[in-house]
Amino acid sequence: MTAGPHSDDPTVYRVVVNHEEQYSIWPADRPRPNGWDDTGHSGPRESCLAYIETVWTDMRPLSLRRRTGEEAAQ
Amino acid sequence: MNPGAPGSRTPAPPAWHGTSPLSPAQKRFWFLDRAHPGTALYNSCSAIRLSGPLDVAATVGAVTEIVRRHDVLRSAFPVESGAPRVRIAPARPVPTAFLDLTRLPPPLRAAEVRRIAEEHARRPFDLERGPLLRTVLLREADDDHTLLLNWHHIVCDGWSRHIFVDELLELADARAEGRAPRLDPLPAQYAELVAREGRRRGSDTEHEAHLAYWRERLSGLTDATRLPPDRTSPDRPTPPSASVRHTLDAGLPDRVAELARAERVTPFMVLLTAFVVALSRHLDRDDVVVGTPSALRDDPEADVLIGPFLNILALRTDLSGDPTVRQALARVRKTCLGAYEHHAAPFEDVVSAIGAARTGSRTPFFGITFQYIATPPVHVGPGGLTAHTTEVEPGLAKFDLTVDVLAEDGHTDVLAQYDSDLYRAESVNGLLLLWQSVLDDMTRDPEQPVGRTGEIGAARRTPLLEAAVGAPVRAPAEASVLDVFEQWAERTPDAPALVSGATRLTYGELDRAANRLAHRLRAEGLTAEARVGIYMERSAESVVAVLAVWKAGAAHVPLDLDSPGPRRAMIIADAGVNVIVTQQGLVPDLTGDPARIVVAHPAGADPGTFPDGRPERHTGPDDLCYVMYTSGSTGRPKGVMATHGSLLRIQLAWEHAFALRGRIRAHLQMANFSFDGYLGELVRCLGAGATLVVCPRETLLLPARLLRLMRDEGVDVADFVPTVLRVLAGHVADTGGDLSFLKLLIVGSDTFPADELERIRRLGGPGTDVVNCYGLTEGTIDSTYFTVTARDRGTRSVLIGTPLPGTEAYLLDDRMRLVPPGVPGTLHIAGPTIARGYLGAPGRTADAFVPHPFADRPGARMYRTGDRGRYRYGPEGLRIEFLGRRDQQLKVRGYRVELGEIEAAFRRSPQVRDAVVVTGDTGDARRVHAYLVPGAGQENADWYAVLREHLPLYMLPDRLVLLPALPLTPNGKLDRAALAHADGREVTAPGAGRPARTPVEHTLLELWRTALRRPDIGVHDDFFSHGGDSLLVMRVIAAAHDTWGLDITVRAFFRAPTVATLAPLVERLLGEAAARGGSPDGPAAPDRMVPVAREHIAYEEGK
Repeated sequence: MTAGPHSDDPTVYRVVVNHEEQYSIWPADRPRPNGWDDTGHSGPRESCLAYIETVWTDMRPLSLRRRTGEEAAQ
Repeated sequence: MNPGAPGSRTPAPPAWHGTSPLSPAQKRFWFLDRAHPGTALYNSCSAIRLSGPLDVAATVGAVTEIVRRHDVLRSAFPVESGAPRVRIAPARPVPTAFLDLTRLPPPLRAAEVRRIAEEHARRPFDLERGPLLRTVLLREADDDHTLLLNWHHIVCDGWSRHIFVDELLELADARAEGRAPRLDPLPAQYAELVAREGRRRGSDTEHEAHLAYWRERLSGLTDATRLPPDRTSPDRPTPPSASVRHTLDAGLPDRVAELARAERVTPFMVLLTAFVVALSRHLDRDDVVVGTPSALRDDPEADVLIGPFLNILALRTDLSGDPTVRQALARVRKTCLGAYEHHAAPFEDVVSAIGAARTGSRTPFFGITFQYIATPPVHVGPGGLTAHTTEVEPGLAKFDLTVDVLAEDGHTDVLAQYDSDLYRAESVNGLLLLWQSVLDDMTRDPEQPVGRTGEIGAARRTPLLEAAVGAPVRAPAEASVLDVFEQWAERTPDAPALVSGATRLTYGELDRAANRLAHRLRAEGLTAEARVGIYMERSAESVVAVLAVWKAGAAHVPLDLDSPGPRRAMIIADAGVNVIVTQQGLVPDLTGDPARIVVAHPAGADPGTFPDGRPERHTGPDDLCYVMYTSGSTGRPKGVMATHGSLLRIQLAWEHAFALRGRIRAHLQMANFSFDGYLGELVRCLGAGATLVVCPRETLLLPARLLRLMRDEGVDVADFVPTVLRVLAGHVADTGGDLSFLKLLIVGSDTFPADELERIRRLGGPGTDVVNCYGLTEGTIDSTYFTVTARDRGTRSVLIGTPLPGTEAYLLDDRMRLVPPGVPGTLHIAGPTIARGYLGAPGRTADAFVPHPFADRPGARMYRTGDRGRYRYGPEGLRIEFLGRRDQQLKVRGYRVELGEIEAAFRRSPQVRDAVVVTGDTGDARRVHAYLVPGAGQENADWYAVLREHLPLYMLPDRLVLLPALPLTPNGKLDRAALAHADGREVTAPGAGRPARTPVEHTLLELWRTALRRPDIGVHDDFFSHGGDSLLVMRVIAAAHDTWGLDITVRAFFRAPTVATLAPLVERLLGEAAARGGSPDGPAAPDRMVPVAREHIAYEEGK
């Protein structure tokens, strides 16, 4: 089983991020879905995923990180 | 009027003494008529509306004259020693009935014309005797008549109709005016052209070259291109047809013509390209074949002749590699030009040359035809009489689907006629809409890839977006399932919560035990998001442990007892587990593990040391609830992070879907602890205040014991894996019991066909809901569900239904666009049950959890499952059919084979209780091995014969092993690895050339060898794979008749195309003839047969 629909996927993707700082990829030629910002990184699937490995270091959603931080501060 | 004069310039037709051979087209229609005896399937009926002054006698006389001019219209097809011949009858007046409808009130006349036309179209012809043309003239008004022309396809084709109408107008006018008709004598008769063509085919190498082209062109074709049926066909000899007609958007036909000019192709090629693209989407494959009729009128003399010059061409197009529109057009052009160049090879010769496999009497290669008819339907006669011709369909389906694009005055229509036994109107309609959408996009930008065309329009989008979203669910007041459980513990502390062997706990006791263990765990200094391993048997303690970990504010990680140590160590390290809860007896397994070990006490933890009050907690819905490891294809397991919110939302979804609260009393617990189904059982049960009844692993496959446990404990909900359910259902059916005590019977499976589920349903009672649930760990256990009803009887597909309340499921193409109903897509699930992601794997998470393009909530995600599905129309709207994974498809002996399909075929057989099909279990990936669990008393069945009933030859397994039961993993799932070494009995395939065993087999084999001129064939060889064609079938049938005086029907022959399968039928017919007294006596007339025998044969022919 390959990660994507095709292992030789020719699609160009862009790395996108949402308000919870969750990352994902999206075909560069499709309109970007509501609530997803462009990180500026684009390229083949594997390159985008490798980039995400380096930037998405805390996988907890942002709101949870904030809440946990507040609780810890109390 | 001078009846002697018209046409006198035509020389008398040559006197055909005796009989002559049939043309290839005639042979085809003769055979098709034999395969569908007594039907109007191959009638061609036209209503020719004649507007203007009309002389009835002249018109009737003109028909007689046309029939006199064209010998072929006086043909009949008597049979001589099993083979048909053409006999031409002498010319006589053709009786044309005249009906005056002017006495009817004017508003009723048109309807009466239609009624008479349809009745006329449905009247069958007798090919042996003739005549094969019938006409009726109807008068609606003095200047408004309709001539109904009904003739058999064996004497005409589409072009013949134009000749007929032209000649009719000229001859009628000439007669009315008393002048000589201006018609040239015919240059030749149809039979002469046939003889000429036959000599050419026999002598020159051109015919061989044509066949070589088709052999090369159609090689490697695995199966016919057919639209997947909506329903199980009753397989009637002449299925009824229905039709859908659309008018193309204004402007589209012009743009099609423009594109055709620009790309130097014909408009037909543009229309066909779009059709092939639309079909390839529905079929989910790139290699598509459609048929198209082609007039074989190369000989200029044929231009003015009436007769069946029709051939049918198999147009095969490969759309692989997502070509641009321009490239796809070029491929279609190449396909078409090649086909036109070699169109002289009769279709039947092509079929024989390739030795194509058939299914019943269906056309090989394709089930769909496509044509473009641009000839105007209007003719204007010399005397001002205008003829407007329309087709009258006999209402019978010749193909699965025929699509005719009709260019008429100022507009272009598409008319699709389909087998209404197989398809629903919505499906055909959907294909036509997709075709028009693709066509439209193609004309707008020929540079774009074809894959980008056919975006679904807004009107079709709305119902799909609605179907993708489950019923609304209120936002929960609680933060976790734990809150719900604790409410029950307060409200009904003495209600039984848990039964496991001798251990029984009430809600209050369970709550207190979990509290104590939670305090014990807190002493280990757990921080937020801490992961606590649980290494336990399924037991009361394991339930206490799960609740305790949650109460302690941590997430649990189930550790599988049966996993090898290294895998467990990998998971412990990956999940960052520092604390493991276990049972006393299991501690030795964990020796050497760096994690701290907490041994759970039967009462949670020591009641003397730890308080039984609830520890304080701040669990929110986004907090981690558990990490569940699922197998990754790379061999490295993936840890799915589920949250308290996602688990709570799936519990709510089940509650809404099945109204559990107050309805259920006891829920069986069967799932393995390391499988998320365990949590499903736990939260469904404890969320509803019911009792969880733990079923020991050993009981799962002992149905009598399992039943007793369920009865003793009052179980009314159970969630099965397929194997356990099949064993239980088999036992219940064998012992005449039932499952009516269950209120909810769930099978969590993507392999359970709806009809099998429906049979299970019949074991339940009126209050039993039988449900198939589909889901993945990434979507928190379940995402869609399908409740089977009596109406799903005979539905062979695996239906997974609709999204659960509060969840979402989308079917998308690779471009993340919604696919229309009928078109396969990848299942994406969304909503609040979506997991957080894979622990410590951001790249993998980002790849699988993707932006949700249809969500109202900004920034929402979907999980791409990798599973394939498509929407099917059900009695109550759209529902999802599960199609497996793309990568389950494999090639065996050059054929594309879906293992699931072979398994499903096995399971359909009543002799098979369970089956699994695998490849490569003994090293060779191309070998298909089947493991069967036979039904009671079926151990010694003739298995290869049974299999041949359900499977095409190429799908027969290379190895067949009978097992008493399938080997299972601890989860109760199939243990594929254990199959190859399972203790079973191997059934050997009979050698194809095995000699005949019975006198009937012996005689039949002789007849076959003679007919096929193949002395080497054996009783298991397929007639059609060894040079047999439809006419040779007739020869064998005739020979069998001569030998035994029996009539084997063509359809029966198709269903039993080997000597071994046909012999039992012959024996039965012989037995029945003997039972009637005396020897078989010629053709067995159905009405002389005893009712039982008739039923028997009807069954044999496929009901």
